[in-house]
Amino acid sequence: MKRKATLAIQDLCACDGCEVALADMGHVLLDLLDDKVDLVYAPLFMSAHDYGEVDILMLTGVARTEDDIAHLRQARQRARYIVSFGSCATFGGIPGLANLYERATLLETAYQNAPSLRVGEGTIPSELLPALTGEIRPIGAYVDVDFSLPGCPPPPRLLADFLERVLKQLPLQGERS
Amino acid sequence: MSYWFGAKPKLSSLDLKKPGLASLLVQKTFLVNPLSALFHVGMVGALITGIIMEILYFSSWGSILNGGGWVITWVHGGLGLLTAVGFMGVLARFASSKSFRVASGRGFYIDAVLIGVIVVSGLILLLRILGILPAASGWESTIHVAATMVWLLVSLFGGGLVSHAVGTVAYSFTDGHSPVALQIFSSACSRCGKCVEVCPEYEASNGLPEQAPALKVRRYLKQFQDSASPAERKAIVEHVYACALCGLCVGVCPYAFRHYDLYMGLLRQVNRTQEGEEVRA
Repeated sequence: MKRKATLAIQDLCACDGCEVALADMGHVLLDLLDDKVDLVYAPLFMSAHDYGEVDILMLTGVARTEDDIAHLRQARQRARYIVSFGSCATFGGIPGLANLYERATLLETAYQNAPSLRVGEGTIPSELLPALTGEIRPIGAYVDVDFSLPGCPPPPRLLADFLERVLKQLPLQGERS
Repeated sequence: MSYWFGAKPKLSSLDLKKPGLASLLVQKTFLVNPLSALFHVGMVGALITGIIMEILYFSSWGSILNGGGWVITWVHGGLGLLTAVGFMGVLARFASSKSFRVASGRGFYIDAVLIGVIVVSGLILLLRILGILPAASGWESTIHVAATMVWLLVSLFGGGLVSHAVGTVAYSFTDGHSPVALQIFSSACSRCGKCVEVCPEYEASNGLPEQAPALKVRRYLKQFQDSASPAERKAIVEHVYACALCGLCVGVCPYAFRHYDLYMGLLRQVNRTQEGEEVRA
């Protein structure tokens, strides 16, 4: 009997809508978790703080900070298959619109000129937070990606079908744990 | 129209990599519609064998076949038959799929009429060769060849199916995302309508044709490059800004064409201009 595939979901700079779509798979997700998949890391759903080597690593969101890039650098060693999960990871998505503006403008808009702030009160953080990357790029620009699933978020039925097809490509051996 | 979040679109691939020419011609077209794949293979084969037949007819090279020219004629007839069957499938899909009709636009009718003439005259010729109809009188052959020539020219320069074929070959030599590749794709797009089927923005606009990805790629972005008036350019930018950038269109596109890159390229182009400021305001 095949063992279950291990799956981790690493979110970078993301809204977590892709994970919500995963939860929206409903009983199909429960069936997958029963028979075929061990979910070992997914910050939105569970309290695991880290993960080791996994069969499938799904990356959501974009590399907006140097911290995100550090996660991506480790990804290839930790996963047999890497999936860019959702539009942001695959293309840049809505966060990619930030590429239309200068980085200084983005920071001023977020921390000083946002409508929710009183004029002159905001401060642009200069320490403790990881630095912003120069430009939003698809995660395929940082790490070799095996599979890509577009969608903002990917419709749950499409996601279920996609996972089934990816799982079929995994040559899992050994007894079920 | 069904709620897009409940949809289960069929992805053209799991990795969204640009497919090769052979894969596009057979495998990806098969995913759109099996009969359409038959049409593509038949049409490409029939055109190649037809051109060979014409060259042999008008030159002295026919003698080198030593009387074996009939083989090419029969192969051409067989491929023509495949084309005819596939063409029926394409027409049936056109009649049944609104997305296909929206993506194709009215230009499809010109291609359909001319291909119809080519197919019918070819079938009559085939029946005459098989002896089912009386021997050829010659006019069908003239119509068959003349209609093919007219179709090739009209469709090539009018942005029809021949332009799609030539564009596809040219696109296959590009990297798929450079500015030149994006420009070429506006001709290469197969108008299959798969992107229209899955576009949440098209659905949210209750089927506004201007929001159909295929039309944005083919008509509006081309217009934008080709000196449209300021008002038209502003409308085009607004339609592009309305896109949710979800990329499902890329997932179902047989070419895995990166609409996202095209839209972002246009937005970058206008972002620092006055029309960009006006749209964002």
